Amino acid sequence: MKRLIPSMFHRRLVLIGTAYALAIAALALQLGHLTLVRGQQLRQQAEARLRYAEWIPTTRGRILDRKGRVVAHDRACYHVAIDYRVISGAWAREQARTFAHRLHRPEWRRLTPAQRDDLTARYLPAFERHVDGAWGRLALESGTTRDDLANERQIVFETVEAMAADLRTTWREQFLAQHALTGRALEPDDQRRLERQSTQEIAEQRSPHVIIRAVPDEIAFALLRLADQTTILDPTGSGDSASQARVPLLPGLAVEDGATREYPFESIIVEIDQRTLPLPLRADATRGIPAIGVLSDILGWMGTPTRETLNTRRDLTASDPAFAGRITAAGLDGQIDLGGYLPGDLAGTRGLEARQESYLRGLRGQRQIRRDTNQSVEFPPTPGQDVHLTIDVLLQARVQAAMSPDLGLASVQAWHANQALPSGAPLVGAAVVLDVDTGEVLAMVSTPGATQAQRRRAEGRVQQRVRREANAQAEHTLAQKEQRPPRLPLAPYDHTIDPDAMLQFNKAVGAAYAPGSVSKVIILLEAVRAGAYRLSERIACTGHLLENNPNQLRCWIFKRFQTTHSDTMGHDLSAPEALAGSCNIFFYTLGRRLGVDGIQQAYRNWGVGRGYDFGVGPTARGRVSAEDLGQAILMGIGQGPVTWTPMHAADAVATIARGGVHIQPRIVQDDAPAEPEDMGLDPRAIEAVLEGLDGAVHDAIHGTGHHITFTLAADGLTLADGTTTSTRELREEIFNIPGVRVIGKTGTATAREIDLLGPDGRPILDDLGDTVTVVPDHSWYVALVGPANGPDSGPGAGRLKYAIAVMMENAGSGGKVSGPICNQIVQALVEEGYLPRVAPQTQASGTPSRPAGGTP
Amino acid sequence: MTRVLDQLPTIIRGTSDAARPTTSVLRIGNAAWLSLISAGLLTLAGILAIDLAEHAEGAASGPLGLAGVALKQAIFALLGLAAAMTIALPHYRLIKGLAIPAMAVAVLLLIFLLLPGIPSSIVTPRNGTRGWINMGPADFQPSEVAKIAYVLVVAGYMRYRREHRTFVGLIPLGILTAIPVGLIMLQPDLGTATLFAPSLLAMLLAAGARLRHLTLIVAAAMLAGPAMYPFLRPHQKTRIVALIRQFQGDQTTAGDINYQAFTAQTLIGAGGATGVGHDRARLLLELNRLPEAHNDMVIAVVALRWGLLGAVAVVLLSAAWVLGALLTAASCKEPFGRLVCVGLAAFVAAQTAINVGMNIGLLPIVGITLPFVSYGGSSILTVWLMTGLVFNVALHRPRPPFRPSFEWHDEE
Repeated sequence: MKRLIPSMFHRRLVLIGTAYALAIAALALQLGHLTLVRGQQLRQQAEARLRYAEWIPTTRGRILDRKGRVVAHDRACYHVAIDYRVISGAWAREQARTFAHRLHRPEWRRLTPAQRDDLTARYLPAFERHVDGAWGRLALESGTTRDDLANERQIVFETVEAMAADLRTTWREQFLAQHALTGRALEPDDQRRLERQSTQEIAEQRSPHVIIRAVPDEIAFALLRLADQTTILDPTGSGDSASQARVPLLPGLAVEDGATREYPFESIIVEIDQRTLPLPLRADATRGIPAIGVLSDILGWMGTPTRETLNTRRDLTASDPAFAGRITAAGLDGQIDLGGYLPGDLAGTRGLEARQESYLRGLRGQRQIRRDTNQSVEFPPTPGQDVHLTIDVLLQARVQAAMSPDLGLASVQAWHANQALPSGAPLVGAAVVLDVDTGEVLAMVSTPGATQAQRRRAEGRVQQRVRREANAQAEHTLAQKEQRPPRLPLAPYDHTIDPDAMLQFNKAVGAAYAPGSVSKVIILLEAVRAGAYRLSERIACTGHLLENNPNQLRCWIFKRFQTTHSDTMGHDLSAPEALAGSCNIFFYTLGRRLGVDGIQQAYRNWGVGRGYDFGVGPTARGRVSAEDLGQAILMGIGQGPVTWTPMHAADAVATIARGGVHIQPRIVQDDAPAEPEDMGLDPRAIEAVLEGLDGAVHDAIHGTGHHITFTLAADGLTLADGTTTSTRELREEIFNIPGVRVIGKTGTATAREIDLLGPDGRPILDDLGDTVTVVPDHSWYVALVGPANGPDSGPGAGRLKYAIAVMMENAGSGGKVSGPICNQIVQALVEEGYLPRVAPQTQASGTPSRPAGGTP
Repeated sequence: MTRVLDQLPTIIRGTSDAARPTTSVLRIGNAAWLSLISAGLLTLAGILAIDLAEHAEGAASGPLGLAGVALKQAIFALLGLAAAMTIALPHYRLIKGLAIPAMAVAVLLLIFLLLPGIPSSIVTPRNGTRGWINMGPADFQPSEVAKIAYVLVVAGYMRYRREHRTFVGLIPLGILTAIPVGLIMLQPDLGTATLFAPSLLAMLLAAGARLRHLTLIVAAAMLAGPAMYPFLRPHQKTRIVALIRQFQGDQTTAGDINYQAFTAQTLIGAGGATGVGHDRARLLLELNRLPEAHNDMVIAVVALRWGLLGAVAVVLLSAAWVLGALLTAASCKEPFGRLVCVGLAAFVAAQTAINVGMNIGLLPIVGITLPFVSYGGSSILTVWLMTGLVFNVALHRPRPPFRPSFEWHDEE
């Protein structure tokens, strides 16, 4: 080197130059690496910001009834939305700050943050007042109240803040997860970054949210006109035009297209032909009976998506690949759920709207647009899937009308002989109609009926009462511990007597009752199966089971008429005869023979202990728990520690009609029909049961479900034997619909004791001021019905096509109360075309009856 | 006034000897043209890049279709050109006389910046650094003046001395450096302060300080570097941490402390080999939100718009400027001129290298700009003054008496 460049200075210059050249080379290499090696990847990263996505709205699936009538659907409407920053107060603060900046622009740069905040605070009240006034104006224009708006605001605020907190938690977890990969401990720097992340804003905190749903079109248009208007504020109060601010009249207002969920068949007026009613109610004309809230408990309603909604969707996505494949698409930042819930979305929260939410919910479309080329990629929206019910809404309405107190069958009548409730008191209960061939539910009515709005309010009141009770209880416990007087009165809440609580479930599947005599049909079958009874055997009705004890375990005929079935029939009872006459002794005997284990197994075989979870609210599973033989004996006639739901009863008789093949009932027609399951019952036993059910309805003398006896006023009527009387009795068959064949079974099940109510509906007090209690009976009637044999019955005549179960709470006799209702249900089946309509022949007007006799 | 005009030839030629023809006093064709042309091309590129960056941030177009800030840059560049021409005319030995006064003024101004009682209307803190004096439409940065004054003073000091050949003799220079560096570090402006070290090093190297002394000092500094970490301000520590994270491939920092670095690298990479067009570049800049796009990170804008070719061209043009200065130093026989060129070249070289390095992820983000290209009134004036000085050295033949210097032999 020294020889080449003799001058040290120049050598040193070369050194400097070379060093610099090396640095330049390193820079150029790294530049090359970034642009050539990683260039593609980095360009994609940079261009990812070029794309933005827009959602395309979709529609929710409809719910259709059995005949394709639309019972739930979306209707297009306008919603009123307000930008979140106005709701949270951020708008006012931003406006005040901008105004302060504008007014104090020259010195703004030199002010400290604290001084800037002070200036902002000085002008903030004016903007806050404007926002407050805007809310009032909005309430006025839209016809709501300030309080309602304030409530909605609070809900939106809490929802979005909760969402932000969740998102921040997710970010935090992601950060920590990524950090964990590096294997380092958390340093103060990382802590600071975590803190900063925890205050980051999410998109929902900068977008509009719906405050008022489904406003009428005129209001929507009026608000649209107001949305463009501005007004002048004077935050300094000086009146100087230079220090005024121009702001929108209604800041953050947006009128959005939307949809609201409608239920066209919610309330229907049903025309009832009063000619088929029992004599005291009969009339020649039809009458319009309102059926309120038809299907409203089954359909449910929509509300803000709950954590459960989100979890259900997430679980379904994880467990069902087909579903997951349908709902996900490639978004800008990875896979997205096109049916995901955005703020302001509604989801089904009760009933089938909730149970079928994942299928009803439509998938939004997404348009991904590139800002530079304006090219777009579009995923079209997919409307939600329709859900088809097996229920016929008009049949459901007719059944509900039949059970309406207005019509009269469901209020306490004289012929009910109800000793527990005052005359005219309304009766509530449930009715189920099943299609025998398919196991589909045609109707599933629970009374009292109520509209969706009424049910929601009732639910709110129930929650309030539960909370109040809990708070009071907690306060009392605390007061006891601190040995001081409690500050809240005790607020005990009994949901069993709260009419609001009654609206929270469907009695057909959500409440369990003592079966009473209706369960005798299955006891017979199970006793035959267990070998505890042979069909050839006849058992004597001795009036009371225990020889030495005539006051317990008695047959009803002994209790009322001091006679026995063996006496009235003249011989010991066969199984069909025992069923037709509903002999208790016969079935106490079977119960004793089955024993504690056998009787429990018998009920369990028929589904007691398993509920029918259709998604229409709480499900009752029924209960069977015998501990000693005495209880087992009682359970032979459906009393004692056993309960089941009306659906259990209908399911049981439907299975019998199928010859012992069980098909699980369902209310939604999904793709997979229920698998029939042969219960392995003896066909001759089935025959015997059907014969017994036939006898119950058609045996005029012994059948408990054949007729009702009415006592009518009659003055000076001369009887055949020459005596006069002031009353006469009239007997009418329960079933008077021509062209149909009905067989069935009554049940009068002893229920829990209740307070005796006076005519005013309030409890009657005795001399000591205590309430008087009384033990009522639940009234049951199960039936199988089909077109009658006859010249013009058509094909399929003689088959039993539909199973009906009716249960009326605390109503008394099965035949007297539930029987006529069951008759009206048969009439309803004819009206809706499920049974043939046949011209009525001359109606039997009833025959005078002997004093003895009656229906249990 | 007429007196100055009368004296002008003397000033230019550096001699009152009228006998000597101009060509023997001035060297019109010289290596510094390389620097001058490079400076001009870089300035043009800078104006275009600043304009792009400003439009991406939503600035409106003014006269000539340029955004307001780009226009300001153009005006300051023209002022810089004028200043360069002015300072290129008097012989540099006359300028040497201004060295110590200039340094004194610079130091006083640096001290003034740090005085506690100064209102923010005069010294406006920017990003926490008190480095600018507010002069109405523009801000004036005393540390830039300090750079030039420093080079002049050090070059003048080492002109005929030989103490720097000994280890002990380096100490006075160290103390001399510590004054402006210390004052600048107190602002705090760590980036600018670190530029003085390469300049001193280059000048010492060129002046013939022993290599082993210099190696020792550099090694000691590198070892002592990590020990200084606790004394750094928090934001300075953050930047070092961020760089370490980058090297570790840690992506969690992309959202905050490494946002600037990652975004710059993303945009550089997105430029590819030849860059994306003007509209696409503007859109990408707008949506990717690069901080300081018009000053510290302007090379990323260049790389986005003109790709690897453009970025390398800018780097090579800077290298050409440095080469021009070094060639001027090589062809200058007079020690003061030699050292001035080397010192100024080192400033520009170091600043370019560090700025590009921090944009491409090899160095932590520090607050220094790319000479000629980045926006900054004081900055562009200063580098054009430097160009003018280099041109000055190249233009004027050394006036005797002088002797060639820095031609040491190892024994001396």
